[in-house]
Amino acid sequence: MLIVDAIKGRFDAAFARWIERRSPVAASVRLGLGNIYVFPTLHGLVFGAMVLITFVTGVNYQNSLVLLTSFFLAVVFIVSILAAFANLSGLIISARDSEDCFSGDMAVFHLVFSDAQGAGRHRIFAQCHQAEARGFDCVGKETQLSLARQTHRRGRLPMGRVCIDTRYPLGLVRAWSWIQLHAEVVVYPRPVQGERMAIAGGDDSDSPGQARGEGDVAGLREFAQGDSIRRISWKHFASKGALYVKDRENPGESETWLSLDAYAANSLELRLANLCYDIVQMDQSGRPFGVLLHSKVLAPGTGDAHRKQALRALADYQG
Amino acid sequence: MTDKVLLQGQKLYWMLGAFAVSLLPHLVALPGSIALLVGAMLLYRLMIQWGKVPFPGKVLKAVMVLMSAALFFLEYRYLYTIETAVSFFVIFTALKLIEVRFERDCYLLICLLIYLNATKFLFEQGILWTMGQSGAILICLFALLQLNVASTSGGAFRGIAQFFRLMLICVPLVLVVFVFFPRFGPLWQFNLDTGKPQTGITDAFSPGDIAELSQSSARAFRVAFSAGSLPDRSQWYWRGLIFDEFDGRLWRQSWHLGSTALRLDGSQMPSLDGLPFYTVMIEPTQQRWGFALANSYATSADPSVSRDGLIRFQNPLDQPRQYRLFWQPEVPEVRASPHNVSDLQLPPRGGEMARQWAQERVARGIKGMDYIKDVMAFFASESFFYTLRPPRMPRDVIDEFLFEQQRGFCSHYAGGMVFLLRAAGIPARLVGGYQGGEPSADGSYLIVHQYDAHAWVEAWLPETGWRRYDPTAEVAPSRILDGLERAVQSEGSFLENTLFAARKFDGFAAVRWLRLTLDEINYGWQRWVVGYNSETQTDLLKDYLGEVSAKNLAFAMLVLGGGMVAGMILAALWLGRQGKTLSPSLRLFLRLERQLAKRGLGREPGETLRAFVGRAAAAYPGASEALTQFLKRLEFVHYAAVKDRPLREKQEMPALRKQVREVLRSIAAERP
Repeated sequence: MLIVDAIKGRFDAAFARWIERRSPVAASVRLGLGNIYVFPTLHGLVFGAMVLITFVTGVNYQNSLVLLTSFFLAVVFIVSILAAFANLSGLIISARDSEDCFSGDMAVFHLVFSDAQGAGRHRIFAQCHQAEARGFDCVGKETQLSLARQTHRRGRLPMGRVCIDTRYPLGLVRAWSWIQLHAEVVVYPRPVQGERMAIAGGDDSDSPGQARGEGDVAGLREFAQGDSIRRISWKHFASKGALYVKDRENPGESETWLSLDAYAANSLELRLANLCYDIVQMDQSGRPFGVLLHSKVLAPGTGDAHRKQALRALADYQG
Repeated sequence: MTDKVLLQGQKLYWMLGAFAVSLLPHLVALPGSIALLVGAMLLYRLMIQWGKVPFPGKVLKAVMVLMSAALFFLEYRYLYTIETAVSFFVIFTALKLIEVRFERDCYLLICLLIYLNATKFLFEQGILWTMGQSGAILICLFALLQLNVASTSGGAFRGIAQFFRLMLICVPLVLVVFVFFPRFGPLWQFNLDTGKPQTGITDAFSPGDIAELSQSSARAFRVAFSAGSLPDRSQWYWRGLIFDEFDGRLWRQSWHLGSTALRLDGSQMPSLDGLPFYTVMIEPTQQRWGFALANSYATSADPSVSRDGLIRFQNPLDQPRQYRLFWQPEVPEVRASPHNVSDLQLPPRGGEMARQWAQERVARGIKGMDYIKDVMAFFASESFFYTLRPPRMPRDVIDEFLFEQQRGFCSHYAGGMVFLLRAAGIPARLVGGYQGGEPSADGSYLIVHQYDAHAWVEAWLPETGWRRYDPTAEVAPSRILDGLERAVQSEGSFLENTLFAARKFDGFAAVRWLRLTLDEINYGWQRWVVGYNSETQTDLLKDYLGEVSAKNLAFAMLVLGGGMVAGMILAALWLGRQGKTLSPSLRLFLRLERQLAKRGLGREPGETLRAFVGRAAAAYPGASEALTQFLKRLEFVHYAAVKDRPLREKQEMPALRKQVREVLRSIAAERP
């Protein structure tokens, strides 16, 4: 078994290199003669055997119509090779920006299939590593397809090789292509609540824990058109029946500094996870916060862009 | 991936439809119990679909297989014919249907169904059957398409447009392959026993047989003569069988005529150069003999021509066959010498009056040709009457006919004449076949019907060899010159037992026209499709290919077929490219981009035009002016108001081209 595995490993590696050479990473890939492969499916081989048997029947019984049938079926087979090829040929595949996600969530890649011809394509499947293959039909000029993939660790998850394949029209042949696109999902650490030790640097008069403890309407104002839903205090909605938002301009609120070194956990990943949790919490509270990641310092701020910047810094943090 | 998808809904119904249309034509010909079994399986599968019953378990499946096997055994015991083989296949396919659960299971079933459809052509080759079977095969393929086509639109017939487009693409390729694919003989021999009854003239022959045949307006065969070689109607004697043994009741052919061993060899054949030829398209008879004019020669090995000029096939005719024969019109006799025993044989008893009639003349010294003339004169003068309703002659066929009743048809006259000749020591034999024929609508071929069946006499004299004599012509000349219908006109017995033969209504011009036109279509079908073989292939292609050899055919097929496939690939690529054409200015930019990329200045993913051009200008200061100008114009073309873009592009293109040339020139000059 070891030998088999070794050979298989070698083969896989060689195959990966070959694919790498044939279809280099690109912003968009156009399918054509150079990158579409066609081969009969198992069903196609059964069909071929049936055609052969029909042919032999025709020859042995000297029956012209049986021969004609076998010729017709053989031609159908050949034409379905062409049709499968044509079903992929000319498609332009590009990747659209994908949203960041937390480790453990599903990373979602968006592929855009443009078909300038607009004539329609049938039952195309896309598969990206272990992500599930999804069949879809290109009907208009542009079709978007999302491939979800389970994430396990923080960092940047490239989309990797994607296999585009089709068995149109009769399922007798499979046309496929391996493509690689510039597309990655930034994976944040998984937020885990952690224990903070001493606060390193900055004004630490307020901690996220206290912020979470707010009980009354202080620091809140009534919801007005244009306020972010994220700022709604659902707790107050539940008890008072009216919508309140956490007031950004809450006087007396000061900046908070979150530091990677402030957590007690031993492993770096866990500390990053703790920090991630607090960043999410701070962002929800709406108060400005800064992040200290050893050499990297993020000035205090609020808002979605700030949050994204902070979380991406965690995702990209190298030891 | 797609493998474990449950087969249901529309896909299932199309598959069941394919099953039904593929099996139905076979069920018509198979025992009712097997039809019931197939129907039950179809119903079972539907019940599963409707949730009434689950898929059968292992035990139930085994029980069903055993029951089917028992049914098969009860129906056929140890019979092995093509029908039992098809029947077995039908049962197998029906059982397989119950197992079809996932989409992937469909493929094998559909393959089985398509093959079943193809085998139906072994039994039926008519145009209507072919259309039906083709439809069934198309439905099978369409059921496959259902598994792989866009599921978004189109209702029950979704994908039908694409399907027919695909099939239309196939048509020219199929034609090329069909016409050019080299035809060769069977890889191994089969005896196809279709279990159909034999038709036409049989090898044991009682006078009544021809009366029975004369009631059928079915086609026996068709003959097309080479240009200008159509002989006079009185010469249309199609020889099939020689009956030389008479037991007092039945005429038979003796064993040596039945065997194919007496085939003409090359030394006995005249040179065929310049001889006229004719092509016979014979309907399946389940017998081994064909029909030909006297003195015909075949160039093929199957059928072969015997020493006595008889056509013999290697296997019983189970489907229409086409064969071509050369013939010598000017030679009336068959040259082979007589067989001393069988050509003089008479039954030990019976025909005493006839023997006496012969002895009287022999005693008077009348012999040879004179005697034959006497016999013919006897038929012409006596009160013989041609009728398809002869009286019964229970005691002695020969004497009662010749001297008492004197009413009968061709086989009575021919039989009586052979008896009289042999009684006088002249070798003679009864020849069975057809006489006459009906010209087709355009006169290009003759249609010979079963009611043209005829019997006549061949007698051998040392000075003439075998020569044909037809006593019927003496009694009823119109039978020979105008055909049976005219000969029995007064009697009204023509096709009297057939209620609705189109032939009976020939009085109506429209009916006659329709009948002959349909026959012409059918003949074309049989000649060019059903009967298409290496001979037809040679006829059709010799003007184009020179020598029609397997090599030339294969070459022509590959060139034509390959050309078509290449054309399709190009079309697919061209269609894929269509609409993708970028505007000229962008193509110009891409050209520039490629040139820069070659020099290691690739455009980063997501890098804007401006940033990229800026980088390039920094790397090639000499080109920076042209680059900046180029960028400015490009941005103007593409980012100003959408409305006038094509016009702006047209105006700016010369300047853009000039700048790109400049950039490329200075890049080439500079080496950073």
